[in-house]
Amino acid sequence: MWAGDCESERPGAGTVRAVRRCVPSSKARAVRGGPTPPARRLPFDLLEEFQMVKLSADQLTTLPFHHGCSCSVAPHEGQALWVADLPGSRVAAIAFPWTAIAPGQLVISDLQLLNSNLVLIEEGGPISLAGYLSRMALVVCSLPWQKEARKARLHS
Amino acid sequence: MSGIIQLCERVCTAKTADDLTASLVAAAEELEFEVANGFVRERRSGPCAHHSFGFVPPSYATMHKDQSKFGRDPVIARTVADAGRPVVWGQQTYVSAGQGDLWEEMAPHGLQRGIAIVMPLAQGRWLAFGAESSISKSLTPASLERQVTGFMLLAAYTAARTEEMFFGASAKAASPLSERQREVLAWTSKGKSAWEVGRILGIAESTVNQHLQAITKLLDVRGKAQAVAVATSSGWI
Repeated sequence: MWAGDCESERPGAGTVRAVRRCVPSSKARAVRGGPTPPARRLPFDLLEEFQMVKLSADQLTTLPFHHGCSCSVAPHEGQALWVADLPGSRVAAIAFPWTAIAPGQLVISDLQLLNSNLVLIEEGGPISLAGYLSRMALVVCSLPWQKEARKARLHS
Repeated sequence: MSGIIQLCERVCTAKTADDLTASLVAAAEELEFEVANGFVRERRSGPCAHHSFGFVPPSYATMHKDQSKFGRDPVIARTVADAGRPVVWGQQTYVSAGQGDLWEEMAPHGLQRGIAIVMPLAQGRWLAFGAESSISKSLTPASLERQVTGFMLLAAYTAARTEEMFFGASAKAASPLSERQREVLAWTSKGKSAWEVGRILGIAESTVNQHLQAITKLLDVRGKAQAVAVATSSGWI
């Protein structure tokens, strides 16, 4: 569904190139499994295949996220997936869209699209959607994701 | 980013609209904005329906509340059309929309360029949030990247705090989910895959996926995790 969104916004050769170049990490491949070639998957597609994991919201910022995959889906837009290993062979994954606002300058393009496979719980009970998005935004803003996204742009 | 993260944490602890305004002003200064304000709407588009907060230059306060101009403001239109996406605007945004006179009215009060966004809150409410400054200080591309990133973080925290502060104790809305959708989402939230949920409920994996797609559409969210966040915080699962 996510890839479809991107394709419908900016159809054309850029999208096809991006799909070919988006190669997920070994962890993402291992979790996803299945016979479909991973090169055809965009970060948001991959995210939907990670199983949900319940996690304390306070733990979120302490997770050791590392780069999963990044790809361009249009000349100035792309997606990224970052993953972190959790105890019990579980994996936390966060996907988000990015856009170039100036040459070489990338920002998250849509806060509503910040997504993960995490069910966040805090002391007072379940976290609201706005709370969820703010926690995700904090994690993403703390990651060196622009470096990987710039590489993806260069290769697209 | 550490400075703006600390200031966002101040937003989290705001107890009143005045506290929220004070923390937003501090965060706006850190991001080289002079003005930051927001209000809650009952629908995605439309005028302020609930709470407003933040700082607006006193000389512009009356014009800021003039709802007759909302309908032709291109920045408002773009934020409504692309909720969740930041709209970086300047004089050209208004001129190219044929609404240069609106920019001319704001400009003398220091509102010459800015960023605006509309964010979803619980129960179908929306937060409209913006930060503005004059154009006397030019921005490099790198500082614009920092400013937009900081603004989005601030917007996300402001939405979360606004919801808790103004609507946290309000009555829960009735669940729009069917019993089957509730079951599917409840098992999904426990980490079960679509195949496993299908086995538990005695339905096909593809049916589970269809239910999940219907749920995300019904709740107007992006993906399973956001659907779970909405449903659990609303007490539906």
